[in-house]
Amino acid sequence: MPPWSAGPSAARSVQGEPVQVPATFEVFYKDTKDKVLQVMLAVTGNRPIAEDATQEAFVRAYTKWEQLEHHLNPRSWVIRVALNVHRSWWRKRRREIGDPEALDSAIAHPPQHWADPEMMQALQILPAKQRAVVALRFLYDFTPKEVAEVLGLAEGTVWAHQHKAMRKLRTALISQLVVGEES
Amino acid sequence: MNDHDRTVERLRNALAGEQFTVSVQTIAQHAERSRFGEVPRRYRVISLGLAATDALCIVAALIISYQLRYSTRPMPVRELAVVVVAPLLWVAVFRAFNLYAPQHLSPSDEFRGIIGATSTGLALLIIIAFWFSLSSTQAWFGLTWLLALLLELAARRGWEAYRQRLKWDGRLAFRTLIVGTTREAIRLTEILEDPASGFTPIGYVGAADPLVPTSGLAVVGDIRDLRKLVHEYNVDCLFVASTAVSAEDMRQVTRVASQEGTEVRVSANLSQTLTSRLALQKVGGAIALSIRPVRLTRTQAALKRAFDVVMASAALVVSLPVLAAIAIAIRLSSPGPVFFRQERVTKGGQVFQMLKFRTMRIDIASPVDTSIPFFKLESDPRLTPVGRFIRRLSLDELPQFWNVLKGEMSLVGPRPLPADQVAANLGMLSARHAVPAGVTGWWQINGRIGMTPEEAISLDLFYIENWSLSLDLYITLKTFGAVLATRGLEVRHRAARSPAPAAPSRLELEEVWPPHLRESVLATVGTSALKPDQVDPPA
Repeated sequence: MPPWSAGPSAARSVQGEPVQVPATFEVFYKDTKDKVLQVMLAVTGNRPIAEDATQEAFVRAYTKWEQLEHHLNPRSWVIRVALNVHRSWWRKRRREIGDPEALDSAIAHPPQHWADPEMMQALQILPAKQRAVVALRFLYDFTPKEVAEVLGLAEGTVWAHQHKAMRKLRTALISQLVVGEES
Repeated sequence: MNDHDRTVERLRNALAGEQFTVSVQTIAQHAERSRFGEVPRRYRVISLGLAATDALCIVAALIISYQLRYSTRPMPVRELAVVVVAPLLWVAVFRAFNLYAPQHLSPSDEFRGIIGATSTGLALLIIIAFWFSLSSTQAWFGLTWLLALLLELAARRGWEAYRQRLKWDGRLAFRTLIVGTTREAIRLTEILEDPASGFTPIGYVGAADPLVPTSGLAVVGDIRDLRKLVHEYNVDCLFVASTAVSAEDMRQVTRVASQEGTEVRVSANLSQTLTSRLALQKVGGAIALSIRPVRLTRTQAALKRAFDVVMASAALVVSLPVLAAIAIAIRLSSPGPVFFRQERVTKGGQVFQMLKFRTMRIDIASPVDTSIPFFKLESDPRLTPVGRFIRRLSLDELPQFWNVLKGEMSLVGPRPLPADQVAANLGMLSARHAVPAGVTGWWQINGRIGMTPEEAISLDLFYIENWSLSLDLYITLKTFGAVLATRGLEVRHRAARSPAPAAPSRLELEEVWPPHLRESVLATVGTSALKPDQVDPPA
């Protein structure tokens, strides 16, 4: 071999064998994965779907890591891809409404366990955009400006969504509380 | 702690315990497995989708225009036969125009191809109709042509946006090795590193000409081991820097590419030339790129003028109510004239009075020194509310259609610069005055803040050297789209890039631009320079 120096991400391998993961990706993955999952859980309210979207987003991030690392903001890139992935699945699913098989599988799968079921239920009341705004703002700790960029909204719209969403969440939680005490 | 904070706290706690347990190894293995051959496969699927869309477009155009022409009269069998044959013919013609290889097409090439293919396809359809001896076909086919063109442009635009999205998130980006380590190779890498390019540069391969690159990517090996490298890095594409390789190297590249089924691109080192002016020619045993001459012929100049007159008068007539409303609003909201006139320079260095709507108050003195370039800041206190609004929608430029009608400007061309600035920088700027100045230009749809003055001027020269009627039409439509949809898909995609393409701070610009050029270049971009939405319009 001539004196060409191979880069750190050089050793790719064939299927099955351990892959040498770029160190920077590993750090990014460790720091971000739980946050992405939490956002997707809040947005979807469904663990398998949230996990699939999260995994797919990181797989895509890995495939173009060289570029992502140097030229994009990986943190906002990965959450945007996760949201996109979910959106396209949701679009597919929407067509399947009324599909008896889907209904069966919903019955067959046991309900999911959440640390705070009331909160998860309250989240599902929100329109999809508002849910995404709230999740990105408070679970992903994005500034309104970053949220606006990821969702393609104006910054003012983000503020408006956040405001409405928080009001709805509070009222939903309070009314749940009242119902809970009565029963 | 208030209600808001409590709710946020509860939301955080509700999900704080959730952990994503998939290991990084699993992610990496999934990625490696899905990587090989994925991009070419997606391109094949997209080609099929394009063919289906084209077939649908012509059938829809035929049926709708038939309905428009004959209302509800049912279609006779012969006409139905045409409708059945049409999509087959259509796809064949589009194939002949090379419109099913999106990986080889740039948007402006696709645009030209669509116009050509639609027209050719329809001409052939008319011949077939003649064969079937259809009655009264003129109106039907005329309408069909128009409709098919509109449908095709819209549908192809949709596909282009979709491809752009896939390119951006990596699903449609060729993993690429750059062959060569020369300066050209480095420049190539910089171009390909833009996520919108559809290529993901992986590393350099050293060829005959050794010069170790200084940019971020590593040199992964030597061209003698090319085949091994293609395997090792799961490469989809080899991008050859033409100045770096010998004939022997090039043979090696094509041999490996045909064995491994990888794409090959050879950079032509002709950054100034639009592909519509290029043709491949065999001269004996060598391959040459022949470049068609650039000057506007008399016919072309007449055509451009006719295009200007028709479009500008149409635009003036259509926008008349808007113009009147703006004029009234300006008069009522602040004292002073409706129009703002400035001496600008057009073809042959001639000075003319360019019209704009007045957007600033004239009764207060300028709060900033107007001799420095940034007196057009959005936050300028002299800007009236009406002015701010019409600037945001670029409506302040509308009166320039009058300049176009008078023949002082063209619809498309380099933006005219203020006369005093031209006088100061004559040597560098005079080349821009080979053609009439324009209301919009190549800069307006391709320019980006942060470009060097040389790049900015080279964009203008690019337009001058590559003029064609379809390029004018393309730029006009693009500008229209950019102004209407300042929140287009690609703008959003670009917005998430880091660093975000926001308006640069004064300091940044001072670093990038030498002082004597800042003002001229800013003027080149027009008022949109300080509106980030429009600096980077949907490509």
